[in-house]
Amino acid sequence: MNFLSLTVLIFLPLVGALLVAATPSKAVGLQRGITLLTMFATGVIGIMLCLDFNGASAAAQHVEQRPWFTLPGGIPVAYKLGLDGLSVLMVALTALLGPIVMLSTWGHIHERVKEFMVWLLVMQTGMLGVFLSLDLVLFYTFWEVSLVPLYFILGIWGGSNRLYATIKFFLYTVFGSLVMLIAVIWLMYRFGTTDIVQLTNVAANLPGDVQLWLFAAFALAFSIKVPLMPFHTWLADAHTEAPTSGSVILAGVLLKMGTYGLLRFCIAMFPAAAIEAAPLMMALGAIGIVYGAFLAMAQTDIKRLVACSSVSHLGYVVLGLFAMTAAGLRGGLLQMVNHGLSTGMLFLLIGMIYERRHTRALDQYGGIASVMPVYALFFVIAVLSSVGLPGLNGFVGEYLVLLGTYERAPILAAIAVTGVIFGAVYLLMATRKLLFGPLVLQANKTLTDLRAREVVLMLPIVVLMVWMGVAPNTFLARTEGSLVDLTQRLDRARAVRTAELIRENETRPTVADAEESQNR
Amino acid sequence: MIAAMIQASTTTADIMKAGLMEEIFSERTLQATGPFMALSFGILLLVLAEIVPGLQLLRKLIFIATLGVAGWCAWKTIGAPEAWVFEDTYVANSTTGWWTMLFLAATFIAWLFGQRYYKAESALEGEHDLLMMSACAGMVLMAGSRDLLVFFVGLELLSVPLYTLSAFQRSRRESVEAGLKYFVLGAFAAATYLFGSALVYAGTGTLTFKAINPADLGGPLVIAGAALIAASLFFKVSVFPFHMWVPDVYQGAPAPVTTFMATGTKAAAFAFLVPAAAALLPYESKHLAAVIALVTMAVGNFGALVQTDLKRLLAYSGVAHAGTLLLAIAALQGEPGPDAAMRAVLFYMAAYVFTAGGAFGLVTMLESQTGRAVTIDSIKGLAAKRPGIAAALALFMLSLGGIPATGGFLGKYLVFSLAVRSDLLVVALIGIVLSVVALAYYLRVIVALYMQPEMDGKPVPTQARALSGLVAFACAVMVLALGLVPAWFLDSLR
Amino acid sequence: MLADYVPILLLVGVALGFALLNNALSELFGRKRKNIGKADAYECGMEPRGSARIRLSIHFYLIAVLFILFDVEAVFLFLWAVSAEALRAQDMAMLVLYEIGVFVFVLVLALAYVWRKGGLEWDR
Repeated sequence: MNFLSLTVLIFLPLVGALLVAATPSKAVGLQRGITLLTMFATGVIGIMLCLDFNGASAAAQHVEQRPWFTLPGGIPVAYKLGLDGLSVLMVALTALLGPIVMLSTWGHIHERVKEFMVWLLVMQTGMLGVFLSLDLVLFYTFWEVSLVPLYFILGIWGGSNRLYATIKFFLYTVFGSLVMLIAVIWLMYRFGTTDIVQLTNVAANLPGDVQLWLFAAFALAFSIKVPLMPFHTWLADAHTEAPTSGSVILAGVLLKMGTYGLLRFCIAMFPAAAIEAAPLMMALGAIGIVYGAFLAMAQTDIKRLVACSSVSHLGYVVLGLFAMTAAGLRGGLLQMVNHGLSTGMLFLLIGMIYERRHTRALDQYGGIASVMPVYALFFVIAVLSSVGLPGLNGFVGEYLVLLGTYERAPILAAIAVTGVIFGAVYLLMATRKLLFGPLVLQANKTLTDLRAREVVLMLPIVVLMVWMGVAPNTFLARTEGSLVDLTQRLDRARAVRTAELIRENETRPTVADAEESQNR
Repeated sequence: MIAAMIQASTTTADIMKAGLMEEIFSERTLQATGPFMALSFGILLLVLAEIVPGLQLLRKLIFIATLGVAGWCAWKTIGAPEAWVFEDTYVANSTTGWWTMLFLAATFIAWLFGQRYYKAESALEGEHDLLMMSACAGMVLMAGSRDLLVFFVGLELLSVPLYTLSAFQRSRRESVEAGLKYFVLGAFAAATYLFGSALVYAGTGTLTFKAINPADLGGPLVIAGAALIAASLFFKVSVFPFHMWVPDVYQGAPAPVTTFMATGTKAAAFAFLVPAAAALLPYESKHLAAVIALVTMAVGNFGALVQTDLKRLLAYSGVAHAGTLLLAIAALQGEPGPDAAMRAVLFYMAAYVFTAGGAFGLVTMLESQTGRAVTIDSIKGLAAKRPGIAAALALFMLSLGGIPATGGFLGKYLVFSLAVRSDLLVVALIGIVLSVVALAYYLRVIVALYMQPEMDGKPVPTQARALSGLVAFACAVMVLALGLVPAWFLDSLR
Repeated sequence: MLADYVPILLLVGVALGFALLNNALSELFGRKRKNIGKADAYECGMEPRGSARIRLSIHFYLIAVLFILFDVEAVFLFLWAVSAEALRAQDMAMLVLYEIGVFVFVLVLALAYVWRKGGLEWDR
């Protein structure tokens, strides 16, 4: 078997997990070693696969397909993996964040290390599987399996209110996915296949109202995961209670599973319904931006603040995706990566200061920049990336999203712009309270600056932030083929819809016609 | 007059004469009845072991060997052409072969977990094994029967030993209570069943499914009869409103017996419920069955939410699972048809036997080690002391909750696809929402296992029992195998 | 058809007549000496009055259950006897013999089991 295969990529972490599980529970060093090595290897393989990816083509690449089992009724379910323009950035992000998260665990995971490492590795398998599956049943399997590790990570290593948070998180997401499951079953029996590529080709021809139902079922699952505005309440709890590494995974990758699903299924599979529902979804995105920003401003807990900013930032992603213009889609995709990097890094930084001071209340800090200059530098970079400073990654994504939105809905774009301003307000305010001002509290005066490990783990993120800010095309080029294809599909659906509307108008009986037919 | 009677029977004998001997000793009959014969022979041997001094030492060997031989016989019927024997009252095909394997597995699991469980009653273990094997023979008969009377024989062969087994711990009040409760209600259900089949006979003139003329099915007698039969079967599989006995009996009965009842009985009753529903229930019953299924799921899930005793919790969860399965029964009146329903139910039960068998089995082990009832509190912190046991129990909970990569998920998937295919979309959606409720209490168990510290005064045992651990591991492997590589099983069903 | 049942009717008539006749004869010619014992309902020698909730030895139940079990099993012998006659005519005598052999063997096994377990001992 070729080493650069998606199967190796997905199941390498699982093998690592089994190895870790086989070690004696006292051998903590060995467990960390194996995990780091596995994560690193996975990261290298993942990134090499993504480099090997031809962005000009819309077709899935590195495809692996084997029959898995046959459902009653003769419907074959395949083990089918593939990389395409919609998933390539997500895979790269997941592969990259793996070793970084692993490195961060040295600081805060001291109990039940073995279990943690196992769950971390299983998580990696689950997330990569979600992004790489090209079979609906396989996708669903990975989708739900990836819930379980986070459930344990939250529940065992979380904060004081962790049980509430973890059960809430699990039930919320499972509820959405189960509704999606019904839609999956329906699709499967309607078309006799579970192949996502085939389904994407045929499902677009379904009548509009049927598409709308299916869209709703899928969108519910993904919106809860993102989370969109009315479903966001689990996120703040989960983030606040999660250990640093859990938060980073959650913000960095897990939430992207929702937006990725919106893109791959809701938009690509049901274009007519997506066009129909776009105003609603965009509105929810815009509301999320502003609402998340207001929530963030009111927080006194720095971690909760970043969690709320997540809601705001993911609003941009949804807004961009559902603008469904060339710029919007690109911006949405890019913003998914941006958010993973900047919010992930913010959570890492918060984790680092929490490990030193064991509090996250903003008023317990102030003036830290003078004792921790390196920390302050990284923190400011992360914040600036998050608020969208030109030259860093956040700017490109937000700009493209706003551009795309303006083409479709200028008013929503205007609302979203205010989000940029609010974002700057709360993040810069938080930075000021945390880093600058007088150094009053005695406990803060003895803080030690970042260790080498902590610097090393953040360096790749910073490099990427600058790279994406300066030369975003390196990344966008890989998505080009798929996005062009998607845009064409959407245009076709729009054309069909317009034609239908025209026909409806022509054939709609006028009042005079109706009266006439009654008289007859 | 007597001469006249002889005359009459001679004429039927004339018809049968042509091949009675050949029929009875034909390979077909032997193949069809093989598992049942093997079990019956095993029962006799077990009785003999109790009589002849010294033979008692061989008891466990006899038990295992009998299950093995019966399994081998059942294996031979899988993939073989369908064999209808005894004037179409009994059938052997791939499905019944798998059902038989499943009953044998359920029996074996419960039996293995029951080793070293009984203390005061250890002198009676011979009887315990004997009764268990009789019940298993009853299940085999139930699954193969396509005739109301043959089924009844199987039902009683299953039930009577179970009444006794429920009350097996004579010194424990709860056990005796469970036995009595189960007996009284079971006898009532049996009577209901008999009355129902009498009505069906009155309406159709036959008890054999194949001989029923579809034109006769709409009559009031048949509908009333089918309803009564359904009620008594619902009692056995614990469907609302006949589920009240379940928590009490499951909690009171000795834990190995509970394991056996929860898995085997339910499987056997469903194995017959599918063909019986296909033969007797009219199309109009579809929505009624669907509604009963939903109510059962709701009652089971909401009932389980408030339980603290693990056996009771699993009992209510079993009620909910019966509701899910009833969805398949409702759906078989629609487009997918009885064969698809049978496959889905079989797969679901296969996953359930190993999942619930493993879960109840671990409860059995913990109960016998600590000598106390196993509650949510008493398993707190188990993961720290006994990671293997906790992991297995957590896996079983996830499978019961229908999380992918486990057999439980695929079973649920199949049943819900049946519902979707037979236009029960709304029902499927409500059912899905109810299964979210179910996850809430399965998660509570996992929370206790992994995320809460050990309770004071309720220490968890520090040593695992090698045998129980091994069986739990085997069950876990099966649960994962059914979820991850189900092709071998699904393909053999087609 | 109906004529087939005439013998049964005759039997009923004879039985009734016999009972009535004997009762009438003893009523007419018998000597009447009344005492308490004779006025009592016939109750196996047990006190007919008082609480019905008296304790009986568990052995009674065991014996009763065993009796009913074997009694019911014995009923099957009648069915066998009826069809054996017919099947014997079909050259299936051996089959019939095997069948009842197995049946009786199982019964004997059960009896042996009961015996071995001490179910037949009164004083334990």
